Amino acid sequence: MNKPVLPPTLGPGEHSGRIELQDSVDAINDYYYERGWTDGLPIIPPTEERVAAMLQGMAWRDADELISVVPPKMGRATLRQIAVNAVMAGCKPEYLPVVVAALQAVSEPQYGLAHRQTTTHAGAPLVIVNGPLAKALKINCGTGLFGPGWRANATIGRALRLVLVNIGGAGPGVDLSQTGHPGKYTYCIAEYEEANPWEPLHVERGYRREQSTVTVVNAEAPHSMTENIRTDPDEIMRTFASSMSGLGVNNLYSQGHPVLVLGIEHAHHIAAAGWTKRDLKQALFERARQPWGLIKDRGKSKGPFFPEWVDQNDDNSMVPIVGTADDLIVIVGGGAGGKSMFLPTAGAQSLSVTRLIET
Amino acid sequence: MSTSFAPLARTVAEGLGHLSLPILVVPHPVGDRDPSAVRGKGERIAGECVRVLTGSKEGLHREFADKQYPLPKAVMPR
Repeated sequence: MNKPVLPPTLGPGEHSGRIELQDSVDAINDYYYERGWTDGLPIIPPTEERVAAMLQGMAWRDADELISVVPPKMGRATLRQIAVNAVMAGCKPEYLPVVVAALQAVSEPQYGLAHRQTTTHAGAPLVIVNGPLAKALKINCGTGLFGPGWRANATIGRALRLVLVNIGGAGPGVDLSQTGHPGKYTYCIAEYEEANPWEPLHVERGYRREQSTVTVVNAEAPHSMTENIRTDPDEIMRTFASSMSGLGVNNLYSQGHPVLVLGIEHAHHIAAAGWTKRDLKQALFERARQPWGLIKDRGKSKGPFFPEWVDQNDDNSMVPIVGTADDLIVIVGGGAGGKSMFLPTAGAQSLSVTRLIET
Repeated sequence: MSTSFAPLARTVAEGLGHLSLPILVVPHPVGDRDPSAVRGKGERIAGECVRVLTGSKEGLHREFADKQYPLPKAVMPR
């Protein structure tokens, strides 16, 4: 007996693409895998019934509405095609608005999606969710926020990636990331706003606390920075600055919007000493640096937006990892312990984007 | 285009509607190499460049419409 399923991408001029396959999870998975339509993990077969149910997650929008054109294949991401990929990823219908907002965010010019889809750099689209929707959807922001065990984290990030691979055509051989990284399976977290002694990321970016947003950043894998001993903010900053400005870190050569996921205990120590989030950013802007003489002939090409105020005639002129203090993204997250995470990025050719989630 | 990036070039060209764009390929790598080695790679395909820039549109379409650009085994061993 056969079962109709829907493909995750359509060719030019195609509007349906209904496929009749043997009604077997194994057979459908084999068919999709052989066509490069999966990330290697099993998918949920996107039957017409499941896709229709997924579309109910944004029932106020026309299923055939074009949300984005995804490079490099310039595939048409209609709401229906996004829903097909969201089903395959294992999303619940109520996750669909987050997936759509994330896709819209990576489609903004400053994110540089065409380059991110094909570069040799090891970046993946990190989705940071802020606002009440994060809690409503149970997007993990606490212990193990980058790890497994949470359906929303696991499937929202996966759905975005499947859209980028299937509709955008950035599968193996086109995505030329030299090593890739595990975040290319899924990379979705929420900010732990209740543990944040300052304003959360979306409020810092002009949204109201009761609004929900996604912020996308093309980020490398998280790098753990341990400081279990020192509680003075100056000393915590010394530890962070050393980790964040090591030779080879992309942002040292081309700045951009790297991310600091501040552990809840570190956040507590820093705020208890009277520091604001802005103080923290300013301290890292000033201290996470290397001298021009050390980096000028190594690493990667400098730019394209290398700070003009770095005096390239002075080997002692200090080079920062961000162009301004505000360019460092700081969120609070994780569980108990003396660790924070640093997520370098590709640099200024790919900047973060925050977008309201439509509900 | 170097061999390692030719499949990507093909995908980008198709995405932009250039279904039979002539893509000429040199051995990878090119970046961070001795300039004389890079020049040598360029000189070896210079004649081909002239040919695709001056050849007939129909002939080039027939030649490149279905041309495949497999990745070198060294970078994609599967």
